[in-house]
Amino acid sequence: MADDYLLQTKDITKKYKDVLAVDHVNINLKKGEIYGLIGRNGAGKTTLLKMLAGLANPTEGDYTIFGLSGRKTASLRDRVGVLIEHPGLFGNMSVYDNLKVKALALGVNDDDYLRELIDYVGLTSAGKRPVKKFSLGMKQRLGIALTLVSHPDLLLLDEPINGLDPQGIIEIRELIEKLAKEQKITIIISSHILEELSKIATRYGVINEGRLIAEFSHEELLDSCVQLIELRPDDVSKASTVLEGMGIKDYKAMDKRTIHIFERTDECGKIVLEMAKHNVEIQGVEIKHRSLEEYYIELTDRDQIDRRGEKK
Amino acid sequence: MKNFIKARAYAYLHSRNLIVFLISTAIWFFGNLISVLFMDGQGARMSRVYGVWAYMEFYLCFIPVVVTTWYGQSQVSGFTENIPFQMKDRKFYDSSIVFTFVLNLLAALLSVAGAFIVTCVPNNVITYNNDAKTMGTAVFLLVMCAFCRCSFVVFVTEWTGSRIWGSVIGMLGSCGTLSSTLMYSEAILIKALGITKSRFPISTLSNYVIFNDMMPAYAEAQTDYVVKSLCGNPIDMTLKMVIYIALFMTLTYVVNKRKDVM
Repeated sequence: MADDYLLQTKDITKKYKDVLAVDHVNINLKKGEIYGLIGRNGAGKTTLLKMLAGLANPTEGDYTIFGLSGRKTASLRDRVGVLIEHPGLFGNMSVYDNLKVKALALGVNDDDYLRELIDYVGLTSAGKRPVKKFSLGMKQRLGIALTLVSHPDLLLLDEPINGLDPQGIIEIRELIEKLAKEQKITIIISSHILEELSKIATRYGVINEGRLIAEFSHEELLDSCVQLIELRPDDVSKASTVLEGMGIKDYKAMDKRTIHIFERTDECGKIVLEMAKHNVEIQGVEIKHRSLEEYYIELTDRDQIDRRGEKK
Repeated sequence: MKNFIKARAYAYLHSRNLIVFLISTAIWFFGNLISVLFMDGQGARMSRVYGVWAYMEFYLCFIPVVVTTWYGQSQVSGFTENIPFQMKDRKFYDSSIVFTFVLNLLAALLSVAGAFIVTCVPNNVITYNNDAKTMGTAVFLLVMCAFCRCSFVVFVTEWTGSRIWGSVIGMLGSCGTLSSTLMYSEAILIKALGITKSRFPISTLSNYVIFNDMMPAYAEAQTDYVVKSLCGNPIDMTLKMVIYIALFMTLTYVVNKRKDVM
């Protein structure tokens, strides 16, 4: 149902001279989701987010946000918070003054809320210190606070953890989780680190050279990362016969005691049961996962191969 | 639009820009006051219109620095990206132009006020009081000059996306280097075309030439600062300046709009 979606893009495309930065991307975002946009540097994440934020115009296609499209989206300024790469801050001004500038621009006249917001993002101790003296993590937290000034329903966060140290990454991650949980804000967050996104996102989109090459839920991601079942039977040749009998062809006997099964990895229990029925003693079984990064690389590599095929 | 201007005003008032501008203006003001009151103008005798013109020269040369700061800080800096949907509604961008022009008007009027105070305190330097019409025309043309330079600097800042370049090129414009280059180029062109007499139609559009042409025989004025009437046709000068401002504001708008697709 189209009405269920808070944001929908339809073949949204951006071309800069000869470079196709975003290529016919279709995204459907439901309320309450944390959508992780993954792609390497220059994949088109920032351009896509800039278009969704109304900071760049699509060359082709369009998008609907809160049911509005085109010029009408300008009325949604207070419902969408934007942090593209680095927050635009006035370096000589304090946290409060930076927030006040944004609040005035969006017609928000609630100083108490601004103070609450400073507390919420953990910057109360910064006091009147000019923000140019802040660490990168503090600046990013202030950037997120800026996006929250108008009580938005949707946040577009472009690489908010880029360049942060591990402690800074944890702080920003916790803050984003808190926002989604406590304030029920829908979030699109981009990053080139799938591992990090996997800790907060509920759905993912992989973008490569401007194209959205895959979309999956968190559960699907975990399933996809199950790579093989490592079976340790007492008799490998007998176990192989059982596997053949089950119709499993994609397996490999690694040594006299180990078999790697690459298909039907979700039927681990069934395989063990079948072995028991045929008197094959299983001394060990383990589901092995590939890393999220490996999965991501596999997706992008597959896309490269597909593109080469298309060119031919 | 009103909220955007409020936000820009808040940012300006809470930044150091205002302090820098006021301190610089105060130094110029007191320097001139000391010169008139205690140094007796170092022997110079002048009319009030010349005094105001000379005082305003400071603000007109200072514009590149202050305008690039007003405009650059809120428009070229990353702050603009905090405000979504700017491509759908250009009010936020328009507010940067309105804000810059309002500040420019206030600063120009502040300079005029300073010039009047300096030239009105009893002294031996101002030996001729111009009539109200000449004074009014001069003040109007000087404020128009301020808008010409402001629009030029805004254009350069937007075009280069840099406050430093806006300031440097703006300074070259304000001190006459660009105007001289334009005039020499025009002279070469005229000579190449075999024309023997010309009124330099392109160069006379430059604000630096208009500003200097207000004073009769600028070279002669080195020995005689008592200017009883303005030189040139004020309507002609105003029209030229309106064209100048319209040209640079249109170019600024085009450059800003093209930024998305470049």
